[in-house]
Amino acid sequence: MSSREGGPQASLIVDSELRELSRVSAWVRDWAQHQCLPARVAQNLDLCSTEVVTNIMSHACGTCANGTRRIFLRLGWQGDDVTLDVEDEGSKFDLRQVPEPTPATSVLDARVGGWGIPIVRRFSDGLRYRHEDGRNCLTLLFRATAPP
Amino acid sequence: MDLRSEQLADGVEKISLVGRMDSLGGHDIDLRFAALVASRKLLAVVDLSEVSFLASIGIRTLVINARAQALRGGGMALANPQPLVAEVLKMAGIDTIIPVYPDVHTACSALMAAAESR
Repeated sequence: MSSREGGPQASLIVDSELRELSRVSAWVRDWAQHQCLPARVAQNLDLCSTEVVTNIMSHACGTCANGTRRIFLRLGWQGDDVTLDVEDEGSKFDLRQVPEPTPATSVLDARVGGWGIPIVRRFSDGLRYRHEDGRNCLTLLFRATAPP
Repeated sequence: MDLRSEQLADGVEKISLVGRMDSLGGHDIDLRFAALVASRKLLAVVDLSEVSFLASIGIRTLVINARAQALRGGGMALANPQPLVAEVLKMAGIDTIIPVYPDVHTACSALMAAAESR
């Protein structure tokens, strides 16, 4: 596949409300379809965007400065990778620093939550984070070729 | 998201989940799912064949209800997940604590056999 650097981008701003989740998912799937992404890449993009946005909606925006409750999303290309940028104005939070959960030995001692970040790690191909101008700026990378 | 239930055999209930199991989908089914699975002792086969998407919030729903059923002395198994859903279950290690079977019939038989051996 030739590089699509500088290829079509799309952006979306949503309120930090769970009802917006379906709009985020529809936007991601629509863009993936227009870019003719392999089904598996589109699924991973959908899954990871859902987890990241849900995490911000559930935990971050209670602490947003100036009452801001918005999440800024951008999809684009970097070489042959799809990039998803997600920005919010909640407390500084680098999800790369969150430790992996301990595997459960039975359903009785299994944790019931906290699977979102491990899912993002597993189903994306790279994570970048910076805190800039009061914003958490997370970039997820996805190789735009179908895995074997 | 939708939920359907059907009695397969005495004490065995099939619960079919349909749709995207994310935060919004969870709102649609969590109460009904808990009322069916967590409120009484039974053997529950959760048919995932029509679940197109499983997010972390869906894992939470499955674990909470499987735990509730285990504490009541019953059992819960998952059946026929689509490939991406199966991979999410495996990544989270859920397949090691809630048994996953390729089809509803196999899941039903396994649950009944396990209950008889207890």
